[in-house]
Amino acid sequence: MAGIQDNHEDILDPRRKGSDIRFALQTLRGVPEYKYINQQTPKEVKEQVLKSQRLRHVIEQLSSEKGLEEDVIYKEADAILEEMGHNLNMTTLRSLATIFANIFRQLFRHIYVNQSGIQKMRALMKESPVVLLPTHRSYLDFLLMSYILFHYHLPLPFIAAGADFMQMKFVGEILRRCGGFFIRRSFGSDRLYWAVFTEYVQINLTNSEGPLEFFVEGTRSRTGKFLSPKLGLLSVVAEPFLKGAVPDVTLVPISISYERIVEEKLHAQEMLGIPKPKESTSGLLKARSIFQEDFGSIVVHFCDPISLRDQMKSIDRSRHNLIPRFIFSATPEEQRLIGSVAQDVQQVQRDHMIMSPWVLCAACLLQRPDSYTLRELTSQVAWLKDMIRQYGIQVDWPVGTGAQDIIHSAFKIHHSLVKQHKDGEITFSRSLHSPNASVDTSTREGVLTHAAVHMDIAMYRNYLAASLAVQGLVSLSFCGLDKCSQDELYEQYQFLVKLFTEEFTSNPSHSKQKFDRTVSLLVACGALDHDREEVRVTAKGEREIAFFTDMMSPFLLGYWLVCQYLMAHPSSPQGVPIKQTAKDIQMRIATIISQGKLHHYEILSLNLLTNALTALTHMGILVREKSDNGPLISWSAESVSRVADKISEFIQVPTDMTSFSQPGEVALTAKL
Amino acid sequence: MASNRRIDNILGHLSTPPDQNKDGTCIHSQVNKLEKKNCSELSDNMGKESGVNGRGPRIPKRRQDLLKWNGWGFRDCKFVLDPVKELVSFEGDRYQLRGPLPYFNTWLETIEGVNLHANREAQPDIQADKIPKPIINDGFLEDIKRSGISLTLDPHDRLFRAHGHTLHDLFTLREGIFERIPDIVIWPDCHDEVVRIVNMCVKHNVCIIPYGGGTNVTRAVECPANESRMIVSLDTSQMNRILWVDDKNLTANIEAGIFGVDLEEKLSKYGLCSGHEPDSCEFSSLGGWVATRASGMKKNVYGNIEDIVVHIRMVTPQGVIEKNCQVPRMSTGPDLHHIILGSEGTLGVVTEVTLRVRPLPPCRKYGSVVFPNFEQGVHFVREVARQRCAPASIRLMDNVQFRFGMSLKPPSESIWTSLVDSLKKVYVTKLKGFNPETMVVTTLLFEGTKEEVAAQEKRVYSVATRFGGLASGEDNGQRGYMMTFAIAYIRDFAMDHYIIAESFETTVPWDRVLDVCRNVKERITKECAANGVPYAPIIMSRVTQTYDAGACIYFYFAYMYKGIPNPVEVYEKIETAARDEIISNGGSLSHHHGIGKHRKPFMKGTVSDVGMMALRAVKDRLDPDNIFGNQNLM
Ligand SMILES: Cc1cc2nc3c(=O)[nH]c(=O)nc-3n(C[C@H](O)[C@H](O)[C@H](O)COP(=O)(O)OP(=O)(O)OC[C@H]3O[C@@H](n4cnc5c(N)ncnc54)[C@H](O)[C@@H]3O)c2cc1C
Repeated sequence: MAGIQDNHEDILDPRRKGSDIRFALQTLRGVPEYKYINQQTPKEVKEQVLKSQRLRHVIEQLSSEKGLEEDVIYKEADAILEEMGHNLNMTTLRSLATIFANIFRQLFRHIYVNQSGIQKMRALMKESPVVLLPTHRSYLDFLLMSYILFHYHLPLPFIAAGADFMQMKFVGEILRRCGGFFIRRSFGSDRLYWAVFTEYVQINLTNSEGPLEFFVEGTRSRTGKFLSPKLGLLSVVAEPFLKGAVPDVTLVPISISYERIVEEKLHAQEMLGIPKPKESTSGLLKARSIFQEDFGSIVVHFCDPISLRDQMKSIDRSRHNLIPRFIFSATPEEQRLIGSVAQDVQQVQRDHMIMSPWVLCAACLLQRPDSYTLRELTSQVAWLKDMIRQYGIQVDWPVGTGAQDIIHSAFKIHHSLVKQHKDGEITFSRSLHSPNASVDTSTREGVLTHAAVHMDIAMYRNYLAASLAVQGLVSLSFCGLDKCSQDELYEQYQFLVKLFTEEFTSNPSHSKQKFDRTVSLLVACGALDHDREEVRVTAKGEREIAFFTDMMSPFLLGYWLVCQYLMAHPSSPQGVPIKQTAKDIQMRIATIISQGKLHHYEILSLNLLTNALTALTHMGILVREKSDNGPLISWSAESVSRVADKISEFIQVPTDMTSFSQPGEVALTAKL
Repeated sequence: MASNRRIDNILGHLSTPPDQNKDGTCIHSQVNKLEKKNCSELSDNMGKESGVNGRGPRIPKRRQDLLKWNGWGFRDCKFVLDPVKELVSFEGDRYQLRGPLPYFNTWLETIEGVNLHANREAQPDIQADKIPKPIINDGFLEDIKRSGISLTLDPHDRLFRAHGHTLHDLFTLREGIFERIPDIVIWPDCHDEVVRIVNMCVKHNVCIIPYGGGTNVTRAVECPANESRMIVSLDTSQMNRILWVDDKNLTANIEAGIFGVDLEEKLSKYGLCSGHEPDSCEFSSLGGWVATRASGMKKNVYGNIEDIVVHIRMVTPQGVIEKNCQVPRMSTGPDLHHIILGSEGTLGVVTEVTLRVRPLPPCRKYGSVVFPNFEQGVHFVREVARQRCAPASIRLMDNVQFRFGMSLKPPSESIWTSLVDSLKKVYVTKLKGFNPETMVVTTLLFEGTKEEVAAQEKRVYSVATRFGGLASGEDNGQRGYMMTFAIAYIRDFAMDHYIIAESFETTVPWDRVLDVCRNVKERITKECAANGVPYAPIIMSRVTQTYDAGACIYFYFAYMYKGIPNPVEVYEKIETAARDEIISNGGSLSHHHGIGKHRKPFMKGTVSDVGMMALRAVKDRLDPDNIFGNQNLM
């Protein structure tokens, strides 16, 4: 097995040896240039947006609908543009390059980048506009990407950033100068905003002075899982191709694997609903203590570029010939295909995530919190590493270092999450902020404090869960039996796929294919055995299937608990706010945990609870309605109970539980 | 002789301008000489009388005596490689282009993989016994012979009319043989003879393929391989008279077989012209133009064929279709002319056409403007169209084509310096942004009275200045037009050296002109690579016509194909991809070449299912037995 170092180079290495200033001031050589590049200053771009037919068309419409003067609307458009626009500036960038080099060197041991990916991208940058699509797990993603492109003498990207960054005055301005432009989080049907935004992005894309960069997930994933893709920007990017304004668009999925996420604590708290501090510069400064910390390494993998043209082969673009190109039009078929492209991009990203040893530790530890010894863990993790490699999962497992040392090193980086006791026992920290404090978990507050640690560990486990989701769902589909007919297995699997659309995103049009491929893979690896009718778990496979099942079942239990709550608390006919419901369920579960009846702290994740509610809505179990105060949901106990019953086919659920609020141990044992 | 001089004018872009014509020969005397030869030959041959104007057709019935049987144009005109000096030169003195072309070699070498030592000889003349034997319908043959109408079963005559000028056709001629060729060639002399021929064909269920100049690039006259009936190639070339000229109404009634050059020559005797000048006008016919909806380069002044036509007479299996008056416009239901225009020989034979004609313009002047890049050039022609101040012709060549044009300069002038120097003399300071690698040229042709031309020039050049253009002289303009005639000859030379070259065209809305040019180039390059073409292709585009709402774009495309076992198949795949790209980008299936059999697969998508039904309905009704069975369009 080749190590990460074999096909990735550490771009921090030269920064440890050479001068940062020289780095920042270096002449950029051989910067690839799009062959039809159109150079415009940020000001010219803005002027072009304001002059565009698209904007004029929308403004004419709005003006006649709302009876407003066109001038007034133009002013508004101008303001939107001012708020949005980047101001990429090489001088700022160069001065920042020194600072970044310094910051990265302090925070990280290594930043590994696959050169081959850079080379492929470099070649294609001359041929067509390029869109960089990194995974989004940290604020640092922006800076990291620009830093890497600068390092490799590539044109710097224009980055679509969430408008919440603008609140940070100083950082916001810096981001602008680094090529960041800002998009409001929700502007749904604001046609003026759409027009300005679309035109702005498309001009930058077709000019192609540098690649466009945005995150398919829309926002940072705080859970380690992949968020279901947002299609807005991708549609905006696809339109110029569909309407012939560019010969092609090259999509470059990028997988960024952090050994330790800089803002992991914030994420954990957010998942529990502890309000995150508004992005502010002073908040960032407070974060200065992070410089004393060791965040391990980052592996950045530039995946094989995807040609949008190839992806859109089946589309008859001539359908757009009958409408002027400035009127947004995408056929349902195109929209479906764009969704599918987004899913495929995510699949590629997922396939190239690198699992750190810590991720494996987290996956094991969460299955048996506070009950591993170092020896047991070492052997389990070593087994896990070999096992998952069979499934093509890449593990950053240093060659020639003992397993125990590797785990030690992982613990050192994540010292705030686990403690190793003298007798070899390994326990979770009680609290994220003061690992040594004692926390009383018989109170709800105590439970929530301790839960943050679980959230954090679960986030790392989720890297693995996301990559092995299909194996996990297939394993669950056995429902605790050791054999099953092909058809039944697929039927159960399909239910889980539907239930978990929010949890584990995947391309629905490839569902069957993926199932078949995964079953074959499990068979090839000796975990399953099959003939034409039946699929069986082999003796060797028992441990694997059990591992996969245990990894996934907390999610299922969480969904089941949500159902229990809904059944016990019928909604009022006008509905209840979704956010509030999630919060209420969380509190109920916290109580149950504080009573010692349930040990799965990770179910307290508001993300999981909200996902469950959303999934039930998609399945038509909950009815969702818009209101002025956000979406309201309502349900009938009966249809919810059908889902609960279905879930209970997969995992052992507490049988004595007639009501959600009734006392009794809520035990989770996989049906094995 | 006054009329001769006028012809020289019309043929200006074909021939040497009088002042440069040092040896004193003028094109007209050439024509005369040739026609003399033709006439004597004609009398030997079929005993056909010459036209009302006292002279026989410029091109003989046995066209292969004067024209290449397996290539473009006159036998005595071609590009050749001097084996000693290894220089390319143009043989023959019918055109302004002649003699050694020292810069052309250098240009050729910019085509990746080109090696002039690699020869791919065409097969020598095909022996008569290798040419498919005719299928004979005895009853028909008997009737037609009895009618006294001119005909032949000669294999070479039949082979000559088996094809047009697509790459596919020429490859077949150079390397193989057509599966199916016409079984008989018939030369009707007038409308009535056509009526009789069509009646006989209906009676005996014989297939007719009308044949004008054979210059189509759509496989339109090709015999369908699955046609088992006897096939008549109905050659219209003997119907080349001007039947009358009405100078009050400025109309002329003309037989449909007349070739473009002859038409203009004959009209010039009346001080008139049609102004319809497709690039193929030396060899294409009036009937062919009507049947394909042709477009001439001077359409800005004279209109396209559909604008010029006042009355059409067509013989169908159901009888003659025509209107009862000769008026510029009428509102009498859907215009029947538009069923005939573009029918591509599927409904009947166009026999006589009344055209509107114009007085010969006293002044004609070329011009050219260079721009730093293609984009600015496009903005310029767009603005000219917006202001509706386009001269008779305005064409924008991209950089590749511009350089190609420059490479056809005679040795006396140096390729760049002369152009750049002459510009420098005028524009000392402005020439900065002009890079030979990106600059482009717009060629212009002005026609009208002296004053009109002067006014047009002033207006066009002032728009040009606004868009960063620099006027670059008459010579460069004229060279541009000459180049388009030369290109047709170059293809034969190219094929001698393993180079495939072909052209295709489209119309696009203005806002998509640049995008289409770029995307088609990109697509071709990609498809070449994907189809194993070992060398990068050379692709050039030019905007050849401007309209209020869009423009016609013409692409040339060539590549070295050595090493590909099935070059034509590969080429067609690439062209299909390019066409798909054009249509996907908002372009039309064709601006003027037509459909034939070559572009049939795209027809339905272009005109909708119901549209196809309508076309089919007309065809089935007018020609229920599919006598006009060339299988074009549908
Ligand atoms: C070098 C070159 C340059 C060209 N430039 C131009 C250009 O500038 N503009 C342009 O429009 N085209 C151009 N063409 C295409 C071609 O010249 C035109 O399509 C022309 O109109 C064909 O006329 P033709 O007489 O050669 O017809 P043919 O090739 O003989 O026939 C074309 C079609 O029309 C039918 N047909 C011919 N005569 C009659 C008739 N009397 N009645 C009914 N059907 C008939 C035939 O059956 C066939 O289907 C060019 C072609 C070449 C090779």
